[in-house]
Amino acid sequence: MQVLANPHRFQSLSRAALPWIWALTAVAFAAGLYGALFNSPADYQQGETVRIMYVHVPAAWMALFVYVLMALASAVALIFRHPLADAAAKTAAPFGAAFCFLALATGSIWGKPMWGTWWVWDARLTSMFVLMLLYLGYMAVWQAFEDPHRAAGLARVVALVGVINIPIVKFSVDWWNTLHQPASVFKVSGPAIDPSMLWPLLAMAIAYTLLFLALHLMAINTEIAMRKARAKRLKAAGRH
Amino acid sequence: MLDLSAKHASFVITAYALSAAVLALMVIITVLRARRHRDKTDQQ
Repeated sequence: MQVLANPHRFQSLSRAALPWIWALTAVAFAAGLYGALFNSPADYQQGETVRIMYVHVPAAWMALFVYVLMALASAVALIFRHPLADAAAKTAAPFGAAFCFLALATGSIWGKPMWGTWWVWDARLTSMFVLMLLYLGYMAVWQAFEDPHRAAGLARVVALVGVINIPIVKFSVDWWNTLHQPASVFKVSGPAIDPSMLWPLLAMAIAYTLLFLALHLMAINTEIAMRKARAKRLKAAGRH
Repeated sequence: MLDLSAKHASFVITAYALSAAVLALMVIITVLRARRHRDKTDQQ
């Protein structure tokens, strides 16, 4: 971790790793989509609609994972004042928001034929909607201040306070009576899904994770380049 | 295999199309931003 904490070293290491990550992403998507669309059975109750799960569930997992990552990076930035941690949190947010939007939208598309409605204000859906608002609020904070140091200070607080919503999303289906079904993969008693449906789901989850990793590394590199350019501009302005 | 003539197949296709569009947009925006800032840095 110490090695990666140096922005210059981080840039060169991530640039070397990116082609491999992109290749693995393509393989994971090919395997996942093959399993999801061609090699897994229709559900005996849901019929073909069950295939929406293979894009909905990984998007929801990623929405939660990215927010936790953002909160961890914010905590590191707050404690160690490391600029790379702020850059990691800032650049993760738009991806998290996109995954959260996908989880809400694909869930809604699944809900219409299965529940007979596009949306209900049950605990799981509402807490996911709150997560979406947290992502948007976090991104708005970065845009609201001209001084990036002031923006970073408030953004860290938003990320850390908002992380309380993550266990609420995860356990909402256990704590309240929800229309949304309870967990079926991450259970103490083991997954309740048939292996023929579980492996495409996991392959798609790996594909989404690798895609995020590739995009996040690229976005951090861009952010570092932008900060260097800004520092140069300020230095040049100070000379005149 | 996905049965395109099944009752709710259009919902499945919509969900996959939307996911593909959003993920593709994420890739395009990230790559374009990276390229634009690399060009700017090169100019400096």
